[in-house]
Amino acid sequence: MERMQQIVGRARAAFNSGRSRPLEFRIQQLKALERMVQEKEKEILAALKADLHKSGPNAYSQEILGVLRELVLAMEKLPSWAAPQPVRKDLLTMRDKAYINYEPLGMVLVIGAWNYPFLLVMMPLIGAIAAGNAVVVKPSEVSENTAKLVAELLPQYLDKDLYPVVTGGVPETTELLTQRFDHILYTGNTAVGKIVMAAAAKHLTPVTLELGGKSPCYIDKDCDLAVACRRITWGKYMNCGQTCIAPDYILCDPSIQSQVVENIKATLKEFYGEDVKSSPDYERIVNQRHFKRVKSLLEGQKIAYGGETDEASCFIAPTILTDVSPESKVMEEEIFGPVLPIVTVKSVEEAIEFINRREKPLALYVFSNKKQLIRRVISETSSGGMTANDVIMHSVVPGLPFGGVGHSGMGAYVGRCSFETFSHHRACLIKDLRWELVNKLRYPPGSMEMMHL
Amino acid sequence: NPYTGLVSHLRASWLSGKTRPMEYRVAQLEALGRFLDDKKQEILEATELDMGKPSFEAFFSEILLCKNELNVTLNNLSHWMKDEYVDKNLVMQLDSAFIRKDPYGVVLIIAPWNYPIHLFLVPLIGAIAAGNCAIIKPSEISKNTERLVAETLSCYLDNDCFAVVTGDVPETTRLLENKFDYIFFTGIPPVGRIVMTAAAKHLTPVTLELGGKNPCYVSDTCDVTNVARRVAWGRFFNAGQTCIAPDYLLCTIEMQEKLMPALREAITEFFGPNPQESPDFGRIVSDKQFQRLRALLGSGRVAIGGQTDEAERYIAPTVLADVLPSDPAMQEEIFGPILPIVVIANMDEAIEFINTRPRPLALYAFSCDSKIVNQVLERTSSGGFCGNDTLMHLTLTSLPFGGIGNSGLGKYHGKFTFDTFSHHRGCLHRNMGLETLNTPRYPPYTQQKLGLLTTTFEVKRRGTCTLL
Repeated sequence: MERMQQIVGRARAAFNSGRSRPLEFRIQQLKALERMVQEKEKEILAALKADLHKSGPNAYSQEILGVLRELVLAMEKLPSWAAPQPVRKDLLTMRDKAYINYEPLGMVLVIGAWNYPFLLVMMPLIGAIAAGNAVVVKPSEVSENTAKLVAELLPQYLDKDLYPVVTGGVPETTELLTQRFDHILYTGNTAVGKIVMAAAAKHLTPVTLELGGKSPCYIDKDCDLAVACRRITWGKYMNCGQTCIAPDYILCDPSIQSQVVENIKATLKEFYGEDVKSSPDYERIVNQRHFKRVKSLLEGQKIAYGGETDEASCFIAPTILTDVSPESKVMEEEIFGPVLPIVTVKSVEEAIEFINRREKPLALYVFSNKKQLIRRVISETSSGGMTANDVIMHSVVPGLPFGGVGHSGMGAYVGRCSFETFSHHRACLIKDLRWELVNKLRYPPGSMEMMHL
Repeated sequence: NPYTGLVSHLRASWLSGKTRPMEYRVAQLEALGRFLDDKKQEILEATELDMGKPSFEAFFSEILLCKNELNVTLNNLSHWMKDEYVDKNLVMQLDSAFIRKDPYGVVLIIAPWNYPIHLFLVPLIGAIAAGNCAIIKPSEISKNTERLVAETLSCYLDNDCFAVVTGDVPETTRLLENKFDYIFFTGIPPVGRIVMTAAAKHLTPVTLELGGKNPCYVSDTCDVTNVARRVAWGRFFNAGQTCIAPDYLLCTIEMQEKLMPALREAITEFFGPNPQESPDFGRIVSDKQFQRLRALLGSGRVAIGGQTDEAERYIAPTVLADVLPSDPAMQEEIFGPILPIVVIANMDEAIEFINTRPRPLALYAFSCDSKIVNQVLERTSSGGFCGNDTLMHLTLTSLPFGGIGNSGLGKYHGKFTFDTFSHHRGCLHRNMGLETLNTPRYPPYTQQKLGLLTTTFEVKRRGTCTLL
């Protein structure tokens, strides 16, 4: 795989030339990306449709809107983000210059995922470019149309040497991971996350891992159930459940379980009509392998709604399971599909305990009219991020870092956080060669009396 | 695994929530302060036995700097712990969006032998401040300090939440098999790799404070006397066993000539005519390190010092002149009281020399001309940088301390330690009402809805960018 070495070598040489460092250059590249997204909107939407059956408006709002927003933010804020940050000085450094200099790390590797295939390569790429790095982009081979399009488009708009796209599957990615990078951002599953970190360890490369897990959703008896269920339905079934921060399962009191089911049913009809399969707004499972995986989670479960599948088109209807046992298969792994299990719990204490017995999730949701209860759930659990009284939305607040904790990941990005993740924060202290008198206090021969001055 | 029980015990304590309240954290931090006060004499004695650390130095690095970190933390803890509120967009005006600082859980701190108290205590301050439980693994090489910490720290800290584990490489390897929620390691790059590989099995985030060869460029325009003092101080502190010590000097042949008498004078001023008799000059920590360093003395030519005494593990403050890049002294981090001078023709050559080597933990440049200092800064990369002095950037708690590339990942000191040991959790607390505002995001999707969505979520450009 010499080609891989050549590609990475060329990008590193391009970085070492220094041309990605001036802010003007970076903004120029970001502007080019903006043009790309605007000029090639049709092609991007077509690729997303081919890969995941995403409808136009859906794909636009899920993948293009966020990218354009991130580009505008980066271009606007870059000068302030990149400016050296003076720090508070103490008595000994009063006359000196002390600041944090934000510098590029060098070579960044971005490994994308297939569920939001355009968004999840573009967002990290924007931050890495803004921070002045060279970037190798490796889109997911599972969403092959988008991967192909990204490989075609990026070289048409960006500096060809600094930002190469590498396509391929496991063998190519494994080979890529033997090369030395200065930061790796990986979006995907926990198992591969461990492989990426172990490969990074060989080169002492810092990593940002955006993984997943089972994001719990607790519904308190005291809340507006109709609104709660509408919001949950939206977040759960968007992209056919293939969202890392989708509410994975519901925890609620048995007395409201049937109401929850009825509300979600009603909302589903409102969103997708009587015949879900013919709704242009309902997506498909990405491939046969995942289709079979999700379908097998239905075995032995009480299906309260949905359950229809069609292998030929990788269609799985929006499904709700009730009275699910915590030990069942559907409660073991991240579902990543349009199947919503409801596990009943008698109290918020039980819900908190249930959540804490499991790995820390990427997202956590709680619906309640009681502020105290919400505060308690936040304080007594841990998760990458969380939203109370809605789902997904914490990921679109520009100032909030997006990342996991424990098995759901490490590090964070999006917005300013991306810039900081992809920069080296270099401590700089510039002293004067004069004023030696002050230094005499620290030189030997020392004495304890001098110390106490 | 001999440590699984201990780790479980600490995890149970953490799950009980007792480390969360600020009062608890403050109490533990204040106890650490009392440890430093009560055991000051013992710390000075232990570090003297371990590496002949002069009391003056030990007080400065092991007590004073640690107390500074403690005080900065205690003074600011309530502020650091608070939820950080962030800007919201149009549709979220009635919601609250904030960053919550969550502890990770049970953290592991592995410390080296050269500043054996400082290098576990300063990370521990941040770990406690952030609400974690911690296992501390001091270095077995600084045996006396290891014993002191193992025997006395438990008298000050809550034993349900904080424990000291002692042992050698096999014990540390077994310790690393357990799942931790954060690992903070200070040591050499090869072991850093081992630690990160072990951490990857559990997806444990890490901070690695490693090392390398810290270059020190001295330009032709400078006050030779002051440069010599500052460089000598940084190089010979702790007998050179400092991760951010200036490792080697880069200068022109003329400057080498001028520096030599100035360095000689500074060394005499600091340690007297026979440094072996000075109470202010340390010793090498072990026979193995002593032998390693003695072998480096064959590089270039000994211009100052060069005397050794195996019985005392003493190596005189030494300056080697005309050292070649291929010499032994230029192949590894020196970590001893030996300063090689590599002659270069000019600043550009110095910068190229630095940039063809792994990125160091610290980088130093001396010049009366601030433009030169700035150029070296701009054209190189390193963990930290200090112009016209050595070591001092470490003492300012508002500056992040950490490496890059082979010299490490992550950073700490001051608030950065607290942030290192906290998970920054993005939280959004929404209003249950105003459901109509959410309509544009729901299917069935229409262009009209998309238009509305774009308007509410977009970030508008303010005028044109003045840079282009």
